[in-house]
Order: sequence, then C-alpha cells, then structure tokens
Amino acid sequence: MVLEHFYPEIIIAFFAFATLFIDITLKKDHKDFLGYFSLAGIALALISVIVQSISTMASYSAGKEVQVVFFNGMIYNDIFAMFFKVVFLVVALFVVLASVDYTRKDNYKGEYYSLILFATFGMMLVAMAGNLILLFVSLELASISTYALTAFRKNKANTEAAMKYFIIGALSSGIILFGMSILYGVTGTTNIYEIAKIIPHVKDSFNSALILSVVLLIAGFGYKIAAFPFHMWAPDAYQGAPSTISAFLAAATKKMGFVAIIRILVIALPLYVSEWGVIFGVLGVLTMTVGNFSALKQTNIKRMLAYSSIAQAGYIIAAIAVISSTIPNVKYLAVAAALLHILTHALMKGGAFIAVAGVSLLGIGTEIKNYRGLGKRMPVTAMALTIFLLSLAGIPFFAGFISKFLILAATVEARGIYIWLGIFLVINSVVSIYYYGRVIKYMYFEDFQGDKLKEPKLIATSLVVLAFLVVLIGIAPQKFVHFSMYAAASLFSHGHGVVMLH
Amino acid sequence: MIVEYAWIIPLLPAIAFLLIVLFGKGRKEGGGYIAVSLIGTSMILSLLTIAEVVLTGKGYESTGINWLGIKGFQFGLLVDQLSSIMLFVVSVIGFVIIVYSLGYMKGDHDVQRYYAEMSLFIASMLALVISSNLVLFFIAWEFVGLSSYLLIGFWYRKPSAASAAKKAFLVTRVGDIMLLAGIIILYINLGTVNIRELFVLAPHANVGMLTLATLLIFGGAVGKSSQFPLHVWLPDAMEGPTTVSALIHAATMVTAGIFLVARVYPLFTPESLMVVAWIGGITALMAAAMAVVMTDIKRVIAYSTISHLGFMTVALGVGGYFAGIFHLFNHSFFKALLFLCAGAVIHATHTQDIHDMGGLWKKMPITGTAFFIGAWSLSGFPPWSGFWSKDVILDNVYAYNHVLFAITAGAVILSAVYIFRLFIIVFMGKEGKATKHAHEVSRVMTTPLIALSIGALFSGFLVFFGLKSFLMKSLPGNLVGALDKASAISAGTHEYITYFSISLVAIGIITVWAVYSLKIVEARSIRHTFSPIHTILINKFYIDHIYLFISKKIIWNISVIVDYIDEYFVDGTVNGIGKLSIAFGRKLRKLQTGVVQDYAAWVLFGTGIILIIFKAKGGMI
Amino acid sequence: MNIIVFSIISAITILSAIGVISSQRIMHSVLSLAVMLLSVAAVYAILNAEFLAVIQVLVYTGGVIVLLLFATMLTRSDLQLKREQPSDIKPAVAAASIFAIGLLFYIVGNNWKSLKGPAVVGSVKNIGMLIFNVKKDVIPFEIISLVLLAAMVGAIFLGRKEAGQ
Repeated sequence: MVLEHFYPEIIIAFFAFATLFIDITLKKDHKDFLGYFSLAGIALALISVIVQSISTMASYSAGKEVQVVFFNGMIYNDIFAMFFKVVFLVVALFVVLASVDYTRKDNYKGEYYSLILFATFGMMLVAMAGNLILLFVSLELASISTYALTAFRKNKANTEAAMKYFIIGALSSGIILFGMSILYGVTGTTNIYEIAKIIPHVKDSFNSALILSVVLLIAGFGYKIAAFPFHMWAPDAYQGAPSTISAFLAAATKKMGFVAIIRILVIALPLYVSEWGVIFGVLGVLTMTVGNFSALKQTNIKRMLAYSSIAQAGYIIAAIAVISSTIPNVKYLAVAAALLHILTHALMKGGAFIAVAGVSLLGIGTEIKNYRGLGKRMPVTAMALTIFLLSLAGIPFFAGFISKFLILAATVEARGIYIWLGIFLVINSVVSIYYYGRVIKYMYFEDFQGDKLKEPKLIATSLVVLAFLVVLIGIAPQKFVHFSMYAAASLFSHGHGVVMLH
Repeated sequence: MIVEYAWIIPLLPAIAFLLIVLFGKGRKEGGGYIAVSLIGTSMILSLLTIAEVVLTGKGYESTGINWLGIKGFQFGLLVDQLSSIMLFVVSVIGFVIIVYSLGYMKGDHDVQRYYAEMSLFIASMLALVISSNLVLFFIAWEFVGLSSYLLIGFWYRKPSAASAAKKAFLVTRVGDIMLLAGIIILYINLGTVNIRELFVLAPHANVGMLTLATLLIFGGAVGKSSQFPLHVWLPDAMEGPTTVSALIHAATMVTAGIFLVARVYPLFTPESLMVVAWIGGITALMAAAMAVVMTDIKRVIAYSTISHLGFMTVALGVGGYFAGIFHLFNHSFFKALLFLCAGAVIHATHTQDIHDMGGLWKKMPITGTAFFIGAWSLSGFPPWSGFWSKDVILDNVYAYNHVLFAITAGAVILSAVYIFRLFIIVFMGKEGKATKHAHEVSRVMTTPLIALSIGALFSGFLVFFGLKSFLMKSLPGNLVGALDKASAISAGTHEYITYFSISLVAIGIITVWAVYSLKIVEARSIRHTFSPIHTILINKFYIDHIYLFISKKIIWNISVIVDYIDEYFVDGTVNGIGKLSIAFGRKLRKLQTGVVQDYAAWVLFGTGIILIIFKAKGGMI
Repeated sequence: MNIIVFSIISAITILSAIGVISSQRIMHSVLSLAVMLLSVAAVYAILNAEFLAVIQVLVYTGGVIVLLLFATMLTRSDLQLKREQPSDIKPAVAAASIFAIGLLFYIVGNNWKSLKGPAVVGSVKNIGMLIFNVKKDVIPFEIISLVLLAAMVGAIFLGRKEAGQ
C-alpha cells in the first residue's frame, strides 16, 4: 500500500482543509480552538514521521530493503527527506503553540492556521520532491502561504515586509525557473535522478548552459536561504513580520531552500561539483561575515536575529561547500554537519523568535534596550532566550556548539583550502559572541525597576521545551548525529533501498 | 577501581552549580553550603583517586564515550601521575577557599551568583585536569576562561571591575585561538586528539610541524598563565573578590597553562622549548621587578604570581619537567595562603593600600603568622617548600644556559625583596591609619589559613618521598632518560648553586629589612637625636637611595614603557580590531536601504557577477 | 525564415515589456502588457505549442487584461494620472545589464541545434496524458490546486477590511 508511506502529508493536508471548514462553524470567541486543532494535526504528523524514520533506520541497520521511490520517481521519501520533515514539523508545532497566545486578540485565525499548515505541507513536499516540477510547485505553495502570513496583521510594518518578501520572492522564483528550464531543455527530463544520468552525455555540447543553470539555481535558492548578496530582504521581512511568523520564516521556510538546493546540486549536478563547490565556499564566507558584522550594530532584536540567521546560513553554506571535497567520506560528514546545523538552528532561532513574540505580547518593544532587566521581569522567557543565544553563539553543551563543531570537523577533515572555511567559521563565531552576549547583558546585568510580568503560558511552555531540546542535543547528541548521518547516507544512496552508514 | 569513577569528580561541582542557580535564592548564604558539601565530597573522591594512583603506581585512561557519535572524538578521562598532582591542588585548595568564602563573602547581596560561578569554575577546572584528549581539554579550558571572566567582573557595577573582566577575556582569547589552531594542526597531521596517542605518534612526526603546533599550544599557555607579553590582564583581574584571586589567579587557573605545557610535554621540540624557556625567564624577572614598586597589597601578590609562573615556565623550558610541576605544587599553597591573608587584611582594614596599614601583627596574630609563613616559603629560604622547588629550578636552568641562570637568579633576589617589603610594611612597624579598628577575622576564615600554612610549610618535603619518580611515570620512558641526562650537573656544582641561591635570598631579605624596617626607626627619632649613628644611617639611606633610584627611575620608567606598550599596543590592537569590526558593520548597514528595488537589483547584480567571474576564469575551475 | 519571424516577435515582446514599465499612463501600461502577452503567445505558436498559445491568449489576454482594464477604469477616476518615476534607475539598469551580459556569455557557445525537442508537443491529448497519469505529472498538477487554494485564502486574508478601517 502506497498511502501508508504518506500518512504525515495526508494528515497535514487534511487538517489544513479541516481548519478552514471548522473556522466557518465556530463563533468568534471560540476560534482559539483552531490553534489547538492544528496543533493536534501537526503533533500527529510529527509522531508518524518520527515513527517512520525510526523504523526505516532500523530496517537499514538490519540490512533490509526499504521502498524509497514513489510515483515513478516523482517522490523520494528517504531519510534525508524525513530529517527535513522532522525539522519543519517541529518548527510548525512550536510556532502554532506560541501562536495561540500570540494571536489571541486577532481575527482571521482560521486563515492563519490553515496557511501555516499549507506552508508546512508545501515544505514537506519540497523535501521529498524528486522532480523539478513538483519541487517548484510545492516551493510556490510554501512561499505563497508565507507571503500572506507575513502580512497577517495588515499594519504598515507587516504589509511592507510582505511586499518586499513577495517581490524578491517572485524575482527569485523566476530565476529558479530559468535555471530549471535550462536543465530540462538540455536533458529532456524533469526527474532529478534521470537528469544525473543524462548529463554526462550532453556535458560537452552544453557545458556553459549547464554552468548557467547551476549559477541560476544557486542564485534563486540563495534568496530562500538568504545568502549574500541575495539576503537583503530577510532583515526587513523578519523585522516587519509578526514574531511567530518570523520564527517560522527563519526556522523552517529558510531550510526549505537548503533541502532543494542540496538535492538538486548533489544528485543532479555532481559533475559540476567543483563549480558549485567554489561558489558555495565563497558565498559561505561572505554570508557569514556580512551577517555577523551587520548584526554587530543592530539595535532591534528581531533585526539582530535576522542577521544572525544570515550568518548561521553562511555556516551551513560553508558545510555544503565541503561536499565538493575529494577525500573519501568527507562529503557524508559535510552533509550530516549541514543537516544537524539546520536542525539545531531551527530549534534555537525558532525559540529566540518565539521568545521575542512572548516579550512583545506583553507590550515590551523589540529594541534591545527594552530588554533591560528582563531576567527579573520574565524569568522563564529570559532564561530560555539566554539558552538560545548561548547556543547560537556556539557555547559548548548547547546544541549550536555540536553542529558547528561538526562543520568545523568536516572542514578540517577535508584538508587543503577547506580549512580556511573552518578558520572563517571560528573567527566569525568569536565575533558573534559579542552581539549575543550584549542581549544577555541587558537582560541580566542592567538595572531596571519594573514589575514582574505574567508570562504567557503557552509561549513559556514552548520555550521551555525548545530550550530543553537545545540542551539535550548539547549534552547527548549521539542520537541526533546518528539521524543526520543516516540522512546524509540516504541522500548519497540515490534512492536505493539499502543504505550503508559510513 | 575508584579511579574508574573519576568522572564523578567534576560532576559534583557541576551539580552544585545547577542546584545553586535553580534553588540558591533565599537560602542561607545563597547556597554556599551546597557548594561546600558537594565540593567537599568531590575532594574526598579525588583524594581517594589520587591514593589509588599512588598505591598502584599506574595511570588510568578510560575508553571514552563517543560524545558526538562520530569517529575520532572519543571523550575520555586520563588520570595519571601528572593529573593526580594537579587534581590534588585544585580540589584541596578549591575546597579550602570555598570554606573561607563563607566568612569572606558574608553579607554580599549577590552571594548566590558567587557560589554558582565558583562551582562552575571548579567543575570545569577539574574536568580540564582529567581530560584525556585535547578537544575536551579545550572545552573545559574555555569554560574555565568564562567563569574567570564572570568572577573578575563579579562586582560588575564597578566600572574598573567590568573593564578588567573584559580585558582578561580579550587577552586570554588571543591565546585560546592559538591553542585551538595548535590542536587543529596536530589533528590534521597526526589524525588524533587523544593525548597518549599523540605521544606515541609524535616521535615519527615532522619536526617543523611539531614545533609550530607546540608553539601555538604554548601561546594558549602564555595567555592563560599570564606570561609576557600577554601578562597584562592578571594584575587587573585583582578587581574580583580576593577569594577569586586566591583560587583562580594564583593557585589553579593560571597554572592551567603550565599544566597544559606539561600535559603535552613530549610533543615539544628543542626549538619550541627554547622559546618557552626564554619567555619564562623574561616574565619571571620583569614581573618580580614590577612587584617591588606596587603599593596595592593584591597587586604585589599578583605580580609575584606572574613572576612565579615565569619560574615554572622557565623550568619546563629548560627541561626541568619535575622542577616546574613541583614548583607549581608548592606555589599553589603558599600563594593561595598569601592571597587569603591579604583578603583577611582587606576584610579587617577596608583598604588595599599598604601605606595605610602597618603594625597589623599585633592586631591579627594568626593572619600575620600565616603571612609570614607564606612569605618565607615564597622567598625560597630554607627549609620550607618554596626553597626545594626553587633549588631544583635553578639547578636545571644552570645546566641549560648561564645567561638565563643570571636572569632567574635576579628574579629570585627580587622575590625575597618584594615579599618581605610587603610583610614589613603591612605587619610590622607603627600602626597605620587603617590599622586602628582592625581585629582578627573569624574562625571560618582563620581555619583555612592554618590549613594552607601547613601545606606551605611542608609540601616541599614530598621531594624526599619519591615525588619525582612518581611524576616522571607520566612521561614516556625514553624521554625521562633524555631529560635526566640534559639537566644533570656534577654534585659539587649542585651544592654550590644551593648555597648561592640561599645567599641570594638572604641578601634580598637583609636588604629589605635594612631599608624598610630600619628606615622607619631612623625617620622617627634616630636621625635627629643620635648623630653618631647618623653616618651609618646615611649609608643606609644611600642604599635606600640606590634602591629607590633603581625602582623609581629605571624600573619605573621601564614599567612606564611596558605599561605604554600594554595600553597602546596590546590594548590598542584589541580595541582597534573591535572598532574596525563595528565600522565595517556600519558600512554594511548602509547597503541595506530598505528600498525593495535596490534589493532586486542586488540579486541580479550578484547573479551577473558570479556568471561573469566564472566566464572570465575560462571555465577552468 | 523562422529566425526572422522569431526575431521580430522577440523584439516586439521586449519593446512592449519596456513599455509596460516606462509609459507615463496606467492605461498605456496595461495595453503594452496585452501586446507583450500576445507576442509571447506567438512565440509558443512558432514552437508548435498551439494549445499553450491558445490558453495564453484565452487566460491572459482574455481574462487577466480585461480584469486589469476593468479595475483601472472602475477605480481610477483620473486616467491621465502620471506614475511616479523612481528617482534613480541607473543602478537598476546597470544591474540588469550585468545580469544580461552574464546570461549572454553562457547562452552563446552551446550546441543548441543538436537538441531534438519532443516529436509532438502541445496537443491537448498529449497534455492530458501528461497531467492525468499517475506515472507522469499528476502529483504536481494536484498540488497546483492546493497552490491556488492557498493563494485564494491568502488573497481573501489580505483583501479583508478590518473593523476600524
């Protein structure tokens, strides 16, 4: 039975529709139910993805074959895809949980939650897509939903942010489509795995066209992952969007760009690995440097977090560049490191934005200086935010350290010029401590007379759970590293049923 | 047996840290008793562990847990002879100082934070000592640096404390990055970060690479152990509570750099050891000279610490593996003792300026006696502990290089001078203006003083109980022979050096006694009433004058230059990098215009540029 | 022959596209857009994609442009209204030119003639076979319906009137 492999997607799609329908029947005061309802859907889907990935990994280690390819190569439901689905669903779960508090006074909750579910659904499909058309269409599904979500409150800031996000998004979609159409034109197929087989035959006559498509794809997805110089929309959009949606954009939507670019480049264009390796290496260094140095002078915490997420994307891009290493097995480590950093970054950046949402809900502004004395006024939020920031800075025993360390290990293992990526990563991490530390300083070491505030319960709950996860990965990362290693191995197995762990 | 449970040793203070953070608030002493009990238990466990290593004569290395789940990063523990010595120092002195803190920190409104940070420090320091690989070592090293930063800035509302903390953080960071680079170089070339595996691989490795890697690692030690030219942070670090100075900036953290050099000692090549030796010698002399002119009681001891760390470094550099560690061991007792005495004095007089003190011995007999013991031991006059280790160091340095020997000998004289100058001004003579209301501190503070006094007196005698052969077991066998051969000098010379060093110290003590103690007598009455003795006094004054000239003019000027270099070169570089980053950040901010058309133009521009650059390179990539 | 027709149509497409963004009056912009969309339909026709050409004319010229015209005429009383010129278009022109130059470098120098397109394209039957076949593109096709739904929800969501407005 084919459908049993797609329970998570079916659940999410069902809940997305159901949310819309239930919305019609509910009275205005009861709309918060929609939040809990979609939460239940996401939780169900998350559980089934986790069960699925555990059983798949178990069959792999038992040497059993697992069906990965569906619908004639349209969908590849490998562990790589499952890893990303876990990331997306976890982020969606906490964003929805926090949104129940955050949107309590807002109208149009039905649309809000169903759009989050649609976006999640689109992202899950991107993670599994083995075909350029499906990939593009689901990318658009996720993007259109988030454009609308960014303008949720329809105030000036929201609308402007959504407008910028949308215009640059449309431009980038055009660029992506151009790149894809060249790939299709040259190879005559839209199946990513078929393309890989045809390219060696057409490489000689279409060398420069193929390089063009590599560059266009990187540029187009570079917008999604907010790589320099395609990153400029991100701070504006993250700052203007409602904070929960900023969390969603930074923690989930951005990661969608990574899954797409990794699958296309690694699977379809391995012959151009040296080209995209160079581009990613240079872009990675530029992105992390520009992100970190821009963050230094920010006075608004959402903008600071936006630049920090650009910087963190730079680390991931650097890890992807390491895939081009010719030393055996380094590419597995590089992909695993990139994946783990995607996971940990989703947790800590999502958490940080949710904390900001909680703070702004109580009428405290988003300027960093407003966070003075927060340690006394909102102890749970401040402690969780501190954990996220320390983790983002890469302090040991927090999740961010583990994944950054893996990236560093990958650059070191790859030897040669790749070590420079590691050096830049270390220097950038040192720089970043300054601006993360500044927020902590404001929260704990600046005097402020103010009442203790009542922290919103659901936001506090999601913060505590996220902080727990961040610490858990920091202290006992084996299971998570294992998961990402399996995901990397399954990516390189090209859809074969059996995966060898390196 | 017990040693297999060594991982519990750092775990207990870590638990104390968590408990105090979570539940310390509102509890008596901010959770100080939690810290005392858990750190005490940890101390007992480490004493048992050490006992086992001593009795079985074998080190222990755990197989290690695979923390990250990937190959090559087994995080395990290594409890050998070297780490047991360090473990002893850290756990015993840590415990003693935590007990002392119960009295010293009483009434501070933030004691909870104090005990939390102290527990964090002790936990990470213990983890550092027993880690079997350089990555875990580095992580613990960073945590040690972090807690040191927090504790220096403990009174962060005081601007000087906040800036001292920042300075310490930035300066040691320079060393940390070098250390990390060293570790990475070792890992790239030898494929492991496990210390014992490195020892096996090192003899076959490229000598140039090893020299570079060990120099970088030594760079880390220079930062942490406050050696020239990164010594500038330690005197400022005295802004923290005195207990912190005693524990972190005298007995344990600053010796972590020495421990690091000793830990990877077999990797060092003769070339890198030469650098180690000279840096150590220069630091020892320079810091001792500066200690002579300071008037802040804690700063005198701080410079003295730098100087003695220099002794340890020079010892390691000249091949005196045992001498360096032995001095580390002794130093930690008498220096912690001196700091705690200084703390008691400050607690009683509420000032740090030594010229406001004087005649304190009568008011504070226990503290005074303890300080005297510490000073005696530090000066290196027989028979207490400082003498034994200083003696071995001078032996080793003499066998290595005579110029370096002269430098070290100079530092030895100055050691005696500054510490007895301090003792005489603070504890003898007439009452100073801050002395009047001083009285002996409470039992909870004097008991640790007595305990440390015993250590300061007798720790040196361990040399007669096989300490050397015990310690040497932690080195690979072939290296031990080579070291012994290099540092061996004839028995006659050895005796000669011993007498020489005793007379050096004696000269120092007599000089300082003559200058400071007798000058006060002269100043008050003799000069005006007893003219026959006047000439002698003038003669004394003459010595005093020379001494003052040396200190005030030459050393002062050198200090000014050194200070200038500190301020404008070292600080300037650090600040400059900071300013540059911020200016760069501001430039980048300007690119962000907020106009969406510009962003779109950037997207097209970026893509176009990538395409053109690729084409220009002719597809050769 | 083909190349001449193609060049003429392309020129019209580009010129009318420039007209869309540069005309001073909204009405002219909309009409230029209509011309541009029609000429794109002509390009499809040259490429033997008749079905696509027909759809292009029906949906865009027949639907979208008419809608735009209605919207313009019903909402704007002053059709002569001049658009605001962006203060400085030089950077945008420069960036676009660099992008175009970059593209040109790569588009020339490929052996495009060796490509053999599908024998029959664009017929309704073929497209039907493509998008309603489980082994072909039925999944993306179905997802498009979700995209439209999400776009609709989003449009309603954004087009709403808040109580106070």
